[in-house]
Amino acid sequence: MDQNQIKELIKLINQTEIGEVKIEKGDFKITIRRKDYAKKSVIAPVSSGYMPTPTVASVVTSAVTQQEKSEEKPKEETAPPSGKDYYTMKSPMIGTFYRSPGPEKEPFVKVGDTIEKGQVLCIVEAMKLFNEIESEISGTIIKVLVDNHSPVEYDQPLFLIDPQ
Amino acid sequence: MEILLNNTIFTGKFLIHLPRIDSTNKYAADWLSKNAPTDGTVIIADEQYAGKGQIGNFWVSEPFKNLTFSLIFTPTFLAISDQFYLNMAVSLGILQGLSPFLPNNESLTTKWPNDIYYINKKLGGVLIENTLVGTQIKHSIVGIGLNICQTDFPESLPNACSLQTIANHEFNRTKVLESVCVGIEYYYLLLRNGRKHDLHDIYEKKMLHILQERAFKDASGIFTGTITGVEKSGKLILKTKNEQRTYSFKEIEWMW
Repeated sequence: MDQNQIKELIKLINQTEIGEVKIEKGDFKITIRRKDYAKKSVIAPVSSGYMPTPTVASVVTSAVTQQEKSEEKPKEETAPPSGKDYYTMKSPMIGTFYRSPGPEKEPFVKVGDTIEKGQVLCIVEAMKLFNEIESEISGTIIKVLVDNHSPVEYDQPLFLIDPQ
Repeated sequence: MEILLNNTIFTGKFLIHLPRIDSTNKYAADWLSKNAPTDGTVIIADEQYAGKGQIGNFWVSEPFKNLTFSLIFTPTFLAISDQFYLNMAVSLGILQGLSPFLPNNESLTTKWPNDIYYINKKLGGVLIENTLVGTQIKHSIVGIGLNICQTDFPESLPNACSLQTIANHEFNRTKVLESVCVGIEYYYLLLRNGRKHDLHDIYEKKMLHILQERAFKDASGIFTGTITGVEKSGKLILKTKNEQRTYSFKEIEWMW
């Protein structure tokens, strides 16, 4: 799809009631969203690579890499109630995400838990190096965005935290 | 047994000696939750009954025969993405520290990513646990298990060896500990002085089966390949007839 075709598509969408269009073809991906279709969620977790800019009619194109594809699986669309700025804790590194210190152990944190600054929230392991990630803020865990024992990318959102 | 490490610069000057503990790494983590980290702190146990291996695995060691200890470092100078260098430094330090006690240093290698091997048998292992805050490493707990005087190993560990099974005599564990700490300290300071590339080069030279064509197994089956090195991320680089591949830990196995 070239630039002119994209422009045409935007014109077309503007004449309709359609709020958002996503097209994927091979390794090409485009999302067109109407300005007035601003999703209420300011913090909708999105796979790494791009972030929605809901206040502007945005055109986001990107080559879909293997990794992004694998991350396309059902993401939390059910964003929590709007109007509040949650803090997104992101992964500082590539690796495997663990919610608990061992297979039969309790998770470090659960949704609804009150956490303190400096509290360990998870482990990210890479090449047999284990990294306990401490929270930089105090607050309440709103959502855990990644499944236990799954791969995470650098900067991928891990937790939503309601700051204290 | 009193443990004094006279030959180190800072490592083990503060040393906690425990008769019996589940895991020295766990003890170190608890200790760090109450105390400020001191670079080079050593926590050593005569008996470790639930040492940490992989997540869910245990390190098995006979009491009073081996070395099971943890070191605390504060490599705040190291970027999170560079943390495999710490693994290289520790592995190389152990090799250097053990070499005076063994007949043939060429046979002493590091099996990627961080086991210590003599010929084709496992002599020890390393398990590093970092604590990260924001974009920084706050502190590292380096757990080390080395088989020193153990001569009987359970059937579940057919591949294990010790200094004593190799050299056929007993060893003073404190002397070995001191030598290993001197080695680790040397390479840690090299890393702190920014000599990452040197570390990388030396680590690759000391890798088990480097540049030797042999059989491996990955998700697609058994194949022949040659280890050519590691990426700075720690991924193993392996060449096959047609291509170069990289592997993360647990994506590849050695075929013996």
